[in-house]
Amino acid sequence: MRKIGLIFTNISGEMIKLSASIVVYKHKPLELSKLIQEFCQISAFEVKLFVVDNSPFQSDFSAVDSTGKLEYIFAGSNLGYGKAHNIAIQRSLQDSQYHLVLNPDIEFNAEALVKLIQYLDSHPNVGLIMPKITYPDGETQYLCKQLPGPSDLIFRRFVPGFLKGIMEKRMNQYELKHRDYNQIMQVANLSGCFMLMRCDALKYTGLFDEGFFMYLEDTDLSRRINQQYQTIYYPEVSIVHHYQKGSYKNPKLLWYHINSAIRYFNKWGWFFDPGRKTINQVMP
Amino acid sequence: MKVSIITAVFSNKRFLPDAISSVLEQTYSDIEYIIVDGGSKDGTVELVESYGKQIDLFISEPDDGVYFALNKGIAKATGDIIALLHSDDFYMNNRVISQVVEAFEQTSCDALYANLYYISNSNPDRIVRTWDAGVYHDRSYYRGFMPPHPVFFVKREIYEKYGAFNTSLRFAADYELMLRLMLKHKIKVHYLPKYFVRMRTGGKSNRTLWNRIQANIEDRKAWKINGLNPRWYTLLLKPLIKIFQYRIVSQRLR
Repeated sequence: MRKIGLIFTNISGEMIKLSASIVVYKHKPLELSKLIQEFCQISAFEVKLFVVDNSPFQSDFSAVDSTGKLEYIFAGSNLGYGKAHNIAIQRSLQDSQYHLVLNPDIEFNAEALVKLIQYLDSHPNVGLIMPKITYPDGETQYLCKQLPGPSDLIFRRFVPGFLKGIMEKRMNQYELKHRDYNQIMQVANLSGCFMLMRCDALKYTGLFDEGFFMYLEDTDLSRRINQQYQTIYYPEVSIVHHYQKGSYKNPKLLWYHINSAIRYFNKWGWFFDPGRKTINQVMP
Repeated sequence: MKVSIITAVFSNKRFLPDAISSVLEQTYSDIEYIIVDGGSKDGTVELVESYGKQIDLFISEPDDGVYFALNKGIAKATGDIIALLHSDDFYMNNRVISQVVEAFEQTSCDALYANLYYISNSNPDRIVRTWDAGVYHDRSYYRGFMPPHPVFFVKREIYEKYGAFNTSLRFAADYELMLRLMLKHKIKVHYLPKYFVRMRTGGKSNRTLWNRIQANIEDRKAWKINGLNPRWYTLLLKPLIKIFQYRIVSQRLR
């Protein structure tokens, strides 16, 4: 990657192309205006932002973007999270070098993205990268995880408070709390709230598995990319995530979560999953 | 580091193009590609020739089997690292060799192994079995361990020092080689838990029960000729642990 003024180009002198997608569901355009503007006003790369709307009604996002780099896609029905992103990724795959999957509740600045892309550009064997993610108050979110086994998901959600102490050790290990969250590390299971991916890698690994409606599609894709490429946690830049564990409050979301977990373990194995054992052993 | 990739082929016009294109699309620049043909008469020779200079070395003459052909290729190779890609198999993506070289450089290992997928013959995106090789330790071979041979990358100097395939074995020459290098000579191996090769089902030793029995006899021989003694359960476990590689729910790759 070469830097010409404030513009980044590839070897043949073309500007690096970066696409991103946000999936919205009954969001008001104004709620997203800060995020959309931050992304669309990036000048270091040639950017394109897809907003895929899973709501039953259309919204007008054109008012929040003055650059013309936003494309609104109305899905017409609730396709689910991964499938909606796939629409955008499919359109980006041939043209873009990198694609960013973004949650609507993210705050970041353009310099963070420049640094992440510089890293990807100088490390071509990396397929996916995630920065440090914090709460609005600056506290680190533990979003680097081991590959989950059935007990990790069940206990985390259902174990009553007084038993949590027993489970805490395993939970801490699952969230890699024994690792240094200020160091670059290879992690197989990275969060879907900010996934910056190499399009060339996605051509080989495939996109989100559309069998997941919501939840765990990020674990599944992250794991699949990790099977073939490096997946990196890069704490030298950080972004803010307004994290809400929706499925802890909303029964419908909990239902989606359980469905996804069943699908995940049907796919990768409930108790015989040698890959899980290996990865959790190699990246302890 | 220069990498030599060797493909041994005999009458495999159908699947060879997948192997060749997966090598030619590798982004790593310092690759030497060698194809050793066993004297095919089905058009395989013409197929390879159609790639012209993209194949660095092409040998076509009758031989006594795949391990003879691979030995011939290894003898001709000039790379620092040697990769063996069978004509039925192909690399998962265009950065496999780049990642292998990166790991060799970072760990200064003598050999490296990874994982592979078994895919359906009719649909290369359908995974039939996953071969997760697992971490190697001193007791591994006694417990039936064997790294997947198509993702076993070795420095050429190791072949020069300890020899290549023992062609007195018809089925288990790959097992014997890895056993000899890893357990007997204790070369420095590194495990990269990545899926690097898609392999079509039906390995040489798994075709029929009789093949399996012969392979088991040869597995035993592989230990004996190296002056090593397996435990009573070692060679029972070796085929048995493969059962866990099968998927209950078949998985699609993309």
